Amino acid sequence: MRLLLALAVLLTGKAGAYEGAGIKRDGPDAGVPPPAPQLTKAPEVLEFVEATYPPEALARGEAAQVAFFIDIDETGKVTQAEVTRSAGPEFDAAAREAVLRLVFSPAEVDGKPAPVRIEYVYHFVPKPPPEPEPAAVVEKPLNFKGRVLQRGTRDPIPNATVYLPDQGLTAETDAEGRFEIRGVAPGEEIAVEISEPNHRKFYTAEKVREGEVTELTAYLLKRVENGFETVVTGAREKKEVARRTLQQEEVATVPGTFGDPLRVLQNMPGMARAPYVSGALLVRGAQPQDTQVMIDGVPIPLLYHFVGGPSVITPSFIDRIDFFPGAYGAKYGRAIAGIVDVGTRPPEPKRLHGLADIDLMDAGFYVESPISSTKNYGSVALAARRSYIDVLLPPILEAFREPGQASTSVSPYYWDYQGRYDLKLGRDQFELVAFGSSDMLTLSQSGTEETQPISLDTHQAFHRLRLAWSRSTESGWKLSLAPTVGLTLFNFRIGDLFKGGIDSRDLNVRGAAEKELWKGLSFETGIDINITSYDIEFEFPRVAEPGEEDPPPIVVSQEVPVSSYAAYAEAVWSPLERLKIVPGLRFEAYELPGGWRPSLEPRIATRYELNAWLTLKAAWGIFRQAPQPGEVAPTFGNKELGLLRSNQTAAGFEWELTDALLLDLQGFYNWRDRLVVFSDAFVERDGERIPERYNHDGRGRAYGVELMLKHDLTQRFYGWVAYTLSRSEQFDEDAGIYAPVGFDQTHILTVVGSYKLDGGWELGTRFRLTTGRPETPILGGTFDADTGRYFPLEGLPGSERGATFHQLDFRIEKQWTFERWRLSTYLDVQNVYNAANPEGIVWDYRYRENAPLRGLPFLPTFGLKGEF
Amino acid sequence: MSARLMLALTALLGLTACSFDFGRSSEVLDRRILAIRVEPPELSSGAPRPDFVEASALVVDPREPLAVAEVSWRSCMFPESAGGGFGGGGRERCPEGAGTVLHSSGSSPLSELSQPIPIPEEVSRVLAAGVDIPAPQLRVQLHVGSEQGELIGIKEVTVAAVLPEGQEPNRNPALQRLTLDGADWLPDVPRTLRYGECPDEQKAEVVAEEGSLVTVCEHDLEPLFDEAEAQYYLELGISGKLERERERLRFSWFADAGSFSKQTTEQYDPRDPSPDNVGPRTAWREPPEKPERVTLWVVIRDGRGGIHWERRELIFE
Repeated sequence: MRLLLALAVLLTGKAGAYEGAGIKRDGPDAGVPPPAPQLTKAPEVLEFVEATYPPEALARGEAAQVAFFIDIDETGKVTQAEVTRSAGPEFDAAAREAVLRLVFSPAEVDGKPAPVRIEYVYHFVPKPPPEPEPAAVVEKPLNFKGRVLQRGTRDPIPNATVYLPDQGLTAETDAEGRFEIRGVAPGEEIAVEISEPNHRKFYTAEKVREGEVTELTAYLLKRVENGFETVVTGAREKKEVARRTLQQEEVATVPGTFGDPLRVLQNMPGMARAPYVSGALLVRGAQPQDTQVMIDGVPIPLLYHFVGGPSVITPSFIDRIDFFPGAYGAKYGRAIAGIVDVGTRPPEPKRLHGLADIDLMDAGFYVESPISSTKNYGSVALAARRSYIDVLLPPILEAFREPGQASTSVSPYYWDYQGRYDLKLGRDQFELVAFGSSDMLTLSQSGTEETQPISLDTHQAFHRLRLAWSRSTESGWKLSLAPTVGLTLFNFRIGDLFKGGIDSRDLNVRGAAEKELWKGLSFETGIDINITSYDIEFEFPRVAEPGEEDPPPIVVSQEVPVSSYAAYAEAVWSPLERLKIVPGLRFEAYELPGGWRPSLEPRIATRYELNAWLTLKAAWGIFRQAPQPGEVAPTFGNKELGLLRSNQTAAGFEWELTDALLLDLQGFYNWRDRLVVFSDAFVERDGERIPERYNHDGRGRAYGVELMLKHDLTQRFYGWVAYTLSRSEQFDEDAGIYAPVGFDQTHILTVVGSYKLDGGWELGTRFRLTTGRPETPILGGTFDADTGRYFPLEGLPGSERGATFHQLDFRIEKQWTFERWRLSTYLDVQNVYNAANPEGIVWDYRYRENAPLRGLPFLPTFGLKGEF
Repeated sequence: MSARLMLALTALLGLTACSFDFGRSSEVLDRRILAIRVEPPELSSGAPRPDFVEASALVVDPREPLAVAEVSWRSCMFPESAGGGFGGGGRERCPEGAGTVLHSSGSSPLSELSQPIPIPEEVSRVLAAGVDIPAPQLRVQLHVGSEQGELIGIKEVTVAAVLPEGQEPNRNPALQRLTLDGADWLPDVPRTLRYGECPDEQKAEVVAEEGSLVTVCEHDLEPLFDEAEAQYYLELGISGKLERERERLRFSWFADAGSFSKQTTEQYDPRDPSPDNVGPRTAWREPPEKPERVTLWVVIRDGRGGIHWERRELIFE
């Protein structure tokens, strides 16, 4: 098996009469969370080979750089060199000949030699005027020094060449971007040229005085301003059949998603389109609550502010999103559809960095920094955001209020926060992560002749505090433990009489131990505990008896435990070099109001590399989850409910068309049973006849094919084509058939692309085409004399389809790069050609006439962001 | 980050801007079933057990008030539902064929629609047994021919095997009086009005057919009823226990011309925090063009099967 790593390392070499050494620089921390393989040692040039300078180019004094992707095997030998940036046939050929003869020290992954792919730039620098006598240089004083930084980000630029052409002096910057030159002849305007392959050449003229040291800070502009960070990703071991990972860069700029990371997921295969901008995650036709969303492995109770607003985690705080549409590994559970795991971003360990984000709706910031620049006190990142709709909305409502109408005061606002502290002490790594969210709504309306005053308050919030420890032992074990405590609040008040709340205290503990037991067999075991106790308390007014005043309220108070205790084990076994078998077993004990519900969930996944570019894969597993708290609550639901179940299979292949282009195709078939459905029957319980309310009679199935053609994030481009052909059905007891569920969409096509142009411009587009929603034909209306309303006479459930949905979105962003910061603004236009895209049908009161409910109209939005 | 406020406002405007040009339910423009009533509305073992319930219907046709139409009455039984309740889900027509009894079918004047519905044996047995077991419920179904196709309405007869102690079976509600502009408006006595003549505070603007605004008069309507007649009953509440409830009358207003400020109104309930909880009054607005006669109907429901209706007429000079 060949493990490729795209390194956070850029190697450069130079050809010239006075330079002859390959130069290496270390890249930034890849920030890849465990258990991903880590590059523990980067390759270094051991034997540099100087290329033959093309004579004519040398005579013209012409400089050049040729960039390659080179493959280095476990021994450090270059096996392949592919030109990625040409300087012309002569330079290319000369550089390639030299590069193929380079010898490196072997790279190491997790402490073991491994093949890697790196980007390597070969520099051709024409021979400058003859060097002065070495003895004279040594004797000359240091009088010119400085630092070379990237414009906008202030990242140091190592290996930049500082060249004084008039005096023939030169220097290289170190890892911190610093340089020093001795013996610069004093002058008023000494020409300075600074060059580095990934940055534009920098020219300046400096004054150097006798007996003084001149200091220069130069800010070099990156060739592709704010180019996508293409070489920062360490590929993690692929164990699952379908794990789709989105990097931070990809989730921020997809058109039509408002830069909202969770909404970007809706563009993945297997994900159905949600109506309007709701953001619901509809995985393989399942209900939104059948997919679990976690932050750093911790379940969160709320995805979006005010149901359909921005997601509760600031995009800047996100490092990556892993999306498992099904048949996931034993590490995860409690979801009969998919898993979304949002990984937070480790703080920058070297310098202060931050951004501010202000728009009409909210303002937020993100800042990260090491605690100390000299000592290892760890690094910290903080982010927070608060809306100010509560300031803007009242004057708007007042402006639109007509005389005589009730005056309305409404104050909705939300805030969220995230914080993370990272500390590495020897082999121990500590993380402290805190995050939370709050949505508050206060509404009051004065009365009129025709209305009575009303007031309403709601508050929904959650807070989580997670401490994580991990350690790689000398014996090869990787240990981790992460307890999380949390509090979830939901409270409401309507007028003075209706009030209540559902609060919960949450404890989540994850622990894992993993080791490569011997070559070809690694093993992981762990625990995953989630303890939640809901305190439900409602207070409602009681009917007054004749003559009674102020009767005491009806109070409902109860505690609903919904907890689960899981242990899992998973192995990665490679009996053959190209074969990987991943058996897993998860045992989970659920504590529900009706008692304990055990669940044994075997799972297996396998991957076989047919050749270097084609991999076959298949997976199967059993998955269970608890009913929703309201469904299992003793008073409001059915406490006898057990677990919902799905049986998932998937198989397909991955085909690496090019280094950056991957075709992933898989089919799936999921059975779902013991689904919770509404019941209008009575049951006998504890000698009483009571409503059953819910039972486990629901059963369904989903099957289809998902295709993903993804162009990996490169410096200028990312994009993908996602297509899903699927059918998701649930058995309809009344009709006696499997009917398509409300989220079923037969064809789902999404095309996403974003390209960075020169000059700080970025263009992106998204096109979506999906089959219309299933609709049940309405054949007429029947008058219900008891309610005075009509009810529809329905045909076969889901036997018709709504109109096909198609929408084109467009996004353009411009970035201005200043010396110490960057400013960007963008225009995002949804539904460019204003397609009607009906989202439903509205009927008249007696089901005779209908009209389409139009979808999202042409919608331009803009944003502004400053980053330092 | 985008300007999400713009998104929210635009989306809101886009959504709220959707106005659907559907007729209002209070406008009676063609043949309609406005109400079906059964007497008694609830059967229980503790009360006298009649052999049949008397069903009657309010079916109107403004274009042909004395019309004779093809009318049929049917009934069927269905199991007691724990989740439906009045106004809840699960409403459906009687099945075609077996299980549905056809009681009468033929021509009948719309002004006199009634039919005795025999109580099925299964229901009688449950009532006679007097024990708390799931009782089959009785559904009455009315079919009326019309130009737009057959009109179908259903009405349920609540069957309670055993009522909680002290609770009497439900009765159809009654209306004491109905006032128009503060004065009693008696049944069968048309009120005469002068079109467009009223104090300024009663003026209102309505939209004429061609889109122009026309100033017309708005007339207050207030139903009056005896608060002491309200029935109390026990119902499974949110606490999971039987909770004491009080009937709350709901009024549906209809007219063959003009419009109402509110199509439905409700009896004031001190427990209801909603803005519309201001009592049962409404106002009828004259049509943009002077009519000769206008008929108004109000249907009163107690929320658990009890129904009553009133009819009034206006003559314009």
